[in-house]
Amino acid sequence: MRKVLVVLLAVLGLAGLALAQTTVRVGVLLPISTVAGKAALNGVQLGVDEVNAGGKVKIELVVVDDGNTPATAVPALTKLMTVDRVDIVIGGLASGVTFALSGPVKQYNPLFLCIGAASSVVEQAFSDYGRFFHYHPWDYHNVAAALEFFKYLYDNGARRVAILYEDGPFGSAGIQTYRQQLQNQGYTVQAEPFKSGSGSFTAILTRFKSFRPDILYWIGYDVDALPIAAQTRQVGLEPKLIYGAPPAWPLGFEKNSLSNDVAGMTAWLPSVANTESRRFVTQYRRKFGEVTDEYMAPMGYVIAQSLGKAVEAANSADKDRIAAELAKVQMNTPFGPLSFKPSDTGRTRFQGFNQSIWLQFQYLEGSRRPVFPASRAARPLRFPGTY
Amino acid sequence: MMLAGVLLFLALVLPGLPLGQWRAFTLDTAQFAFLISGLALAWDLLARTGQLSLAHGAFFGLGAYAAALSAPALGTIPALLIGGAVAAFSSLLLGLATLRLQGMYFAIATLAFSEVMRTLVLKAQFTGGSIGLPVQPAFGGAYPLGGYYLAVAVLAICTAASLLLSRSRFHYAMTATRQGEAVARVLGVPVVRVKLLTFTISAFLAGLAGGVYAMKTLFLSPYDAFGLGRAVEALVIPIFGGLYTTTGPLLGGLIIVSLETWLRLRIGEGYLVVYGVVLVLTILFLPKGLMSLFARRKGARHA
Repeated sequence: MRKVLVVLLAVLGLAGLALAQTTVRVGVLLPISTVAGKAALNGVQLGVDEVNAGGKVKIELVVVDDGNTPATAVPALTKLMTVDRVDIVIGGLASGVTFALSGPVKQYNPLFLCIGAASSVVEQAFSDYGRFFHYHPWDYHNVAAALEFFKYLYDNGARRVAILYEDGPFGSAGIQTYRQQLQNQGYTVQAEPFKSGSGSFTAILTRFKSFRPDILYWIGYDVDALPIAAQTRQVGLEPKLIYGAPPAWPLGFEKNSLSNDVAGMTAWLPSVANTESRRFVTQYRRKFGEVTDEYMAPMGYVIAQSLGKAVEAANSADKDRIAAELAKVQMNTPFGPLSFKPSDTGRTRFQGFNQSIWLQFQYLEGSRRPVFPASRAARPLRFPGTY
Repeated sequence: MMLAGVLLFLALVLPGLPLGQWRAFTLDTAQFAFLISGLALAWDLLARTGQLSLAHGAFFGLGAYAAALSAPALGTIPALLIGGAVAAFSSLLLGLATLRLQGMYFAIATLAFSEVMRTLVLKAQFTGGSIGLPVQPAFGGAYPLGGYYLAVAVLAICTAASLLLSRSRFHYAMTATRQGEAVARVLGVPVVRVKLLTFTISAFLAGLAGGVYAMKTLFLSPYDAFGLGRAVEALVIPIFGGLYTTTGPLLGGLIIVSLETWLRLRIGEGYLVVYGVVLVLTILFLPKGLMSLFARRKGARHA
């Protein structure tokens, strides 16, 4: 009899829990075949696991690949909206793809939690859409963060910047702005384009030699990192700092001695010393058996966590009630505090992070160390570096 | 021809079929499949003269950009025609300079053309450069199925052009040119003129498909519009379906896009491995493409 009562209570307890639980289906639309997309998905899954483990909210994910191209992403979003019937979508990593999604998003009206898409063109495309929550900083935030670092370098004696930029959208988009802003700071600038992946930089670097740059600033992709580091030494350029701005650094670059003293910018590193970051690293290692350097992983995690909080506060699966609660969310994250405000241009209503999340790091003795701003630095910047 | 007609009829009536919750997704996927199949049919036309073009991605991109830029002032249909015309004109210029080249040399010249076009669009201010170009939807978004039926129309035009050319005297000139230019010249075929005309028609169709693509994706970037991947897709589909035929690229395009979509939905990560294996196996066991299956059946019936 006693056993029966215990079982009955347990069943009632579980039933009560189920009744109190709010369940939401969330579409995840990411380029899962890319490193950043996969990292973002891992982060979202980790965040959702934690939310679901809390017991009050149950998030069910429907994951689809956006193929990193509009031709795949548009039908994929349509499927999420009309077949899987989700009301909330996490996605929007690449700017071009996200822009292409703006039409169908406005047609189906989901709550759209945008993980990347830094281009201001996207900001403009979603300017009249009230259910758009953009977590990642905009491109003007990225420029502001980099320029702050260059101002610091200028104060420390740097005067000439040689910019090596890839000729695609990534490298060319902000080049005129960068150039102008650096000149405004007092720098003399010389800039040359290159073809990413070509592996051959000696001609440009030799031309730069007569310019005697203090900073060699390259804007390209991971494949360019090692050839540039190697050929800078080969031609005897001897800048005081090699500063790179790829979307992702090559795997294992830190293990190569050529990486030493190379600097760059990221939104997050596993060595970032805040409670949320440490917690994220521990949980990520537990679930996936490794530590990631990709900041898209904690970005996905933050989105899932903030969504969980909003659903819990809304106590409803209604997307508008969730959006209203999400707008009020204030939480600590691996990047620092998160809350939503109108974007700096006023075009979108819910902007999460700004330039304050960016930090400058340097490859030092085989790992990336935060070196700027001083408040987040784990080590002093080695300037001049040895190349 | 019968199969091509059936496929076009199905494309036309697809929005009216009881597809239930899959309707919107199927129509979206079909729209892209029609455009890619149209591009493949356009590529195959030039292949019939023995030329291997890697410029069709660029014609597609030129058509897309020209249509996107002219649509606000001219409206959808004139803008699409402008897109086709710009692509055709650029192919004419390219053809005049390069169509005396053969085989790999021509392919390399067309590849260089694609790179030049991409760089020009990337550097130009009026194209939005590297930032990209927002595009108006077809007919200003007034008709929900407007874009879909434009894609069907492009596919129908490409199919009709392919069928008409394959049933005309011009077809013999194209085949003779492919099989041996020297012999064709001796037979009185104006080889360069044949190649140039085919190239222009082919580029016009590719540009037309590009214009509709732009009005569907609503945004163009030089890397997407001029991607080499699209040029490769344009040649893989006819090889998969069956070169120098109308039904081959048509069927091949629809099957390849459907297969890719299905694998992506079913397998998720790693679907490209399966997709690649399927393509390799098809090329290994059906070197003349899917159409060789029909030819075998026909041959068996006649035996």
